Amino acid sequence: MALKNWVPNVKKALNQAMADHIVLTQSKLAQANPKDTGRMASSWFVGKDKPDLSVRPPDWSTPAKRKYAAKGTKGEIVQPGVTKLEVKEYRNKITFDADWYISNNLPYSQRVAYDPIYAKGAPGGVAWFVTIAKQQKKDIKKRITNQLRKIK
Amino acid sequence: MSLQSIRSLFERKLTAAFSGLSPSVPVVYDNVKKAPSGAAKEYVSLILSFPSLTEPIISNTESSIEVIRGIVQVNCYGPKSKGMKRLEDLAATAASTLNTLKAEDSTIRASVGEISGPVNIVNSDNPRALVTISASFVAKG
Repeated sequence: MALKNWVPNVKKALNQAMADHIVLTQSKLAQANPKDTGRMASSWFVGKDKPDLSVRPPDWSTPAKRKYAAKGTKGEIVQPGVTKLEVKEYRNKITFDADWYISNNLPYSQRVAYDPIYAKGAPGGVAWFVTIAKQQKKDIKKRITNQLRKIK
Repeated sequence: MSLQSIRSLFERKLTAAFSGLSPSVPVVYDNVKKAPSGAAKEYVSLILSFPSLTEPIISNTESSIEVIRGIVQVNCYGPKSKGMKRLEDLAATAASTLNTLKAEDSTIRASVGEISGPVNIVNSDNPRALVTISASFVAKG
């Protein structure tokens, strides 16, 4: 292959690897996130060169109704909540030559991400966020290698 | 090498390190015992997960898994409104202990990668403050 053809192919492969990585990681975070109303799980946003600080509105879905026997008690669920999950798609082109952020700007997102006490029942386990975050380097390396292998 | 033997390596080393502090701090493992009650009590929770068990290896038999990748998260809980020093000391103890696991202990060693943190979470309604560190590791044995 001539060098003039090789360079665009490599760029295309890197763009594809980055796009796959961002989209799949965003959906992996949304899936692994503990869910009640689904507000946090739906608040993972993709930002180019800076984090997208938007969040889903507080009335995103209907929380469970609880009846409390006494102040400070856990309460009994009298009407189950409604979980609504929508992963916001990033509409523009994802390219490798930019900094990409997947962020969640809800005030409680940090403690749900790190503190297992708030992550009970998370589909991705109590260490769901750390498990995904710590695999980033390995995942992107694998995706880049797979895309580069396709260049003929 | 089994997942239990990897857990055992982390649990033994971290428990020994935190037992040596003054006052000593209990370490809670995955699905073993509950966290001590009382907001003033310190404790450490050790979480190990193995998201990727199948790695290509050179081996005569399929059953001998020699490399296992995992994630370790160490959560250090302490009383709120008492400053960060003690919590960050606990996190530093955890980080320095994780770095010693590279040396072979019996038949297993764990190379711990870049350690993230300490991340502090003090603005929650949890009666305790939390400082957490995490890292990926590769266990060989």
